[in-house]
Amino acid sequence: MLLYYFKLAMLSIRKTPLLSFLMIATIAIGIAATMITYTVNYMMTQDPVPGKSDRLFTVHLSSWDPNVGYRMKDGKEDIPIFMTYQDATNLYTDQRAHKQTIISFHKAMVRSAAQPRGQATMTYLRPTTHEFFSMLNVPFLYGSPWDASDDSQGSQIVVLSKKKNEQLFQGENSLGREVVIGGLIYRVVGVLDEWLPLPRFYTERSDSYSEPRGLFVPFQSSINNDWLSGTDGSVYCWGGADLIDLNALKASECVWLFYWVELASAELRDDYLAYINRYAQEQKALGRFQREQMNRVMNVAEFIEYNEVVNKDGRIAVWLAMAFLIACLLNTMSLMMTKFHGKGAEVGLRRAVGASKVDIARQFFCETVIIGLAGGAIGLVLALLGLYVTSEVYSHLHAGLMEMNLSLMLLTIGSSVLASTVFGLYPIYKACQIQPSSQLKSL
Amino acid sequence: MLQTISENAKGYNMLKMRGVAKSFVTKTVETQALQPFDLDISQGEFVAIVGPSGSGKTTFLNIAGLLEAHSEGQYYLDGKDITGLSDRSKSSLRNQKIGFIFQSFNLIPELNLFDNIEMPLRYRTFSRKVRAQRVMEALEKVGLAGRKSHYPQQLSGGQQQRVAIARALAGSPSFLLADEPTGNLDSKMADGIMALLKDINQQGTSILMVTHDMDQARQAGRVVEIRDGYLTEQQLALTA
Amino acid sequence: MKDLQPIIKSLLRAKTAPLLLMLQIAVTFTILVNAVFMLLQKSDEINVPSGLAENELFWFQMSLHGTREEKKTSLFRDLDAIKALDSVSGAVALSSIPFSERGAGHEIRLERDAVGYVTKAAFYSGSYQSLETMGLELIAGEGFTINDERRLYNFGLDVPSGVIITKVLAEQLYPDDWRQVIGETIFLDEDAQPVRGVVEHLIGPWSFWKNRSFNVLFSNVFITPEVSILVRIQGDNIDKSMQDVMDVVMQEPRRTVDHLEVMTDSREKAYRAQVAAYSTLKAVVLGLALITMLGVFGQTRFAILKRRKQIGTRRALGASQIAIVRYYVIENAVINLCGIVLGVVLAVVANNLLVAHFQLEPVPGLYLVYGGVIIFLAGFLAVLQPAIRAASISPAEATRSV
Repeated sequence: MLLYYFKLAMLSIRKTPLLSFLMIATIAIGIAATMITYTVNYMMTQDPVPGKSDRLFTVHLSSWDPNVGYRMKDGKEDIPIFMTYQDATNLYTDQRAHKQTIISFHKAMVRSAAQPRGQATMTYLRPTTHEFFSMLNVPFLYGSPWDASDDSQGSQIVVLSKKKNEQLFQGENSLGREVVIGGLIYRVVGVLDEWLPLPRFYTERSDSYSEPRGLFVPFQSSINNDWLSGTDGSVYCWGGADLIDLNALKASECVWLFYWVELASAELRDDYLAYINRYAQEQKALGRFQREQMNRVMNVAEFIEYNEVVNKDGRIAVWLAMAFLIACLLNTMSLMMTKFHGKGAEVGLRRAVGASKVDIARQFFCETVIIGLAGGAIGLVLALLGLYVTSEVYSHLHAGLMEMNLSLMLLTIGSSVLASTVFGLYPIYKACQIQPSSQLKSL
Repeated sequence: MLQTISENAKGYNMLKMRGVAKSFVTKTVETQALQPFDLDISQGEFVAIVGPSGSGKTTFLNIAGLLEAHSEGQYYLDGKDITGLSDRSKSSLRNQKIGFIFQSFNLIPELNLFDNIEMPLRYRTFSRKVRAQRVMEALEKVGLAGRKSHYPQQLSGGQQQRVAIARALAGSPSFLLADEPTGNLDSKMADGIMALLKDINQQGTSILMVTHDMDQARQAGRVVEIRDGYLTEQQLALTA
Repeated sequence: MKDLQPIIKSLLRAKTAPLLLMLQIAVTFTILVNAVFMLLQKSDEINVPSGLAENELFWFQMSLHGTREEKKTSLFRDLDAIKALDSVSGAVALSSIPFSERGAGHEIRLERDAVGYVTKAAFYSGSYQSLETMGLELIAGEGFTINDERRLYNFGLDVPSGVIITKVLAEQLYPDDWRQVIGETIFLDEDAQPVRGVVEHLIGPWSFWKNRSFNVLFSNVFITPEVSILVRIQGDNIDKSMQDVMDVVMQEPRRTVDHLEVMTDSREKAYRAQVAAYSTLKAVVLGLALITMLGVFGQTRFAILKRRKQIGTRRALGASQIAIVRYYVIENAVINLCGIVLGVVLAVVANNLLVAHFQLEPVPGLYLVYGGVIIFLAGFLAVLQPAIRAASISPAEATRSV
């Protein structure tokens, strides 16, 4: 029976090509607009560390100037999202979380040892500690992260991103090879596999949708080398700090390091915060932390929300597109009314030869499903096209944001079918109400 | 006032109406379209319904065909009281007991002959094989076997009406309801259709036919006249 | 308008179809008004004046090496060498660069102890010739002289040597008469600074920031391991100027240079997101107008198809072709107006939600009028063709059976 209805639906669509085309096109355009904006938004708001994001926390301390607050946010005083060198290293030394990592920044001229000096390029690096990789589920292609002793010694070793490894070593297994970073020799101990956390939540908002940095080195090695660059990350200071060299920065109250911890379970959050507050009290006794204490830990979702990583325009666009889809569907709905109205004679006839209202409803339902399917399929093509155009127009965002995965593709088709059937309900209801006797009169 | 039309028993009493009437109620007026009447039609009868335009013929046909509900009285179809039946049961009764033939054929232009005739069978649980067999039988009965893949617009008016008759026959109904079946045809084609209908009637199917043509009415064997909503039985002998 | 009454009566009887069209128009209107408003806002954002001599500027970051004294010496030695080039008319060290997306800022207050702040503003600190080099127009007070320039390893705001601010910031601080700001003391976070001058325009380092036109200039060369240099060229060969400057700075063997960019590129990069959003919104507005027209077109066309016989009868009874066209145009206008009225309500509600959830600015009432006019005209255009077709229906339709 279903097949019969589909056959009838196809015939009916072919019979009124303009009307059917208008219906399908309107749905397709509406669905495409919605899916384009939704895809970008969906990709922006994905969980960057699935299964773990409620156990990863960033730690923020109230170490700021006793005289003036750090800044106002939403009408309330806010504290920095970065930490001072002293606090980050104090907490790191304590090792009170299951895992913890300090995240810093630096830039330098980088080349492989085999390349001539002139081929060095300005490269942004990520000085951090060894648990960074396991905390963020970073996949390795070759080698492995360095270990705790490399962190304490500040070994001159480096982990390369897959892309960087291709640039420096043509993608070969480069373990043991040497990279020259700012004139110093670093040995490769690991190469990452494809890794693109979206959003890149562990750093500043402006970097959220760009690619991760290509070189990771032990934080302590950047300290040993007196590396300091103020222009590829943020340093916030108070009390007339002097930023001329690393030692000045280390001794200052300037904040510039991200500090993330992984707890064994989300429930341990309060315990860990209590520890942080105890630490703050100790520091207060030493004369620091003189402001009201607002220390906090934020998990990944909270920090993404706080950092306003997800583009406001993106969410507005989804709402606009959904409203647009509704306008399109209302249009389709009135076209369906017209279409089914025009089939009054057929309905009358079918009712006369014994089709019940339910039979008629099924027949037209199949038709709306087919229209929805066709609208969804064309909509999907339009959406993919639209996303391609979008990724050209929004070239500053990572192209990964403008790609549909399979479930989004299915969602496109599914929502189109759903939309067309829901908006087809009333026209179908009206069609079923047609009095057969009114349609068959010959006089 | 209740008029009784005496039963002209020829066989099984398959359509029985008692005190059936139809009125339309709008906000301001109540219109009596059909005055209360009794009517019995037996199996194998060929009844012609005559009367001027607007007299209530079509309303009567719609009620008899379960397309409209009557407002008063009882209507037994094949012994079953249809008053108050659900849409689904009425649809199924229409499907199995009644075959419709319309003045303007009402074939679906985008379906070929086979699909048009098969339509009523689609609303029953027949296998594909049974459906095909019945369609072919019906096509043969109306003399259009071998044209099953044609489309309605490729046929003459008379042939189209034959297809419509085949469609009505395919479901082996207890009776046919024909609403001016020859109204859109020239006289030669009309004669052919009448001959076909009489032939079908000979084989045992009751026919209820609305017509303007007194000649055709006479061929029917029994004539009921509707005038201003009143049903009266016509004595053929008197008008002959 | 004698048609109006029958039109309204028949619309009330038909209900569903015109209601759907009305809803569609209302929804479209809602989106359109909000989208057009955002569009114009974006366009303001993109076209905000920078105050800079953009075509004559380029900038870069370079490293400084050695002890703090060596860093300072090498910076000023290189700056002097750059300024001495024939292809350069000026060069300054600046703490941040317009459109670079990196910089510092302060909360600005008129009283040190005020709760909250008047606004936030970005902060440019650098050589005393910053104004001339950037090409800013001083419209009140005085600029910096060589005597104002300090050369420190920090921001040096604790010394009240005076700041120059932008006119919009002055207007924000003294809404009645911005000129009052000259000579007054303002607080950058906790640091007091007298205002010594006002410039017409200056764009901030962050293009997306709502306070991007609120900026403060200060005359202190803040020496850090890496400094930003802004160069204004002499002549019109910016590539040659850049090459000349690089030849100078690369004489230091340990030197690294980053972000060598002409200002027009920086601006383009900074507004990429806005320009992208702008094009998207344009597409939305266009799409909406099209969909509305399609809806009106389809609706009217099929309404007429349904009423061929009625139209034929009207014609047979003596209605002129003009009368038929008028009938459908008026009918469409009635639906349109109802849709727009409903749309005004929806648009206001939607806008309030947008304001509440996304901190957008509320749509000014005038945009409701703009949106209404656009929709109305789109509807009018769309109804014409089917209405004219309707008028061409022959009176013979009246007697033809369907």
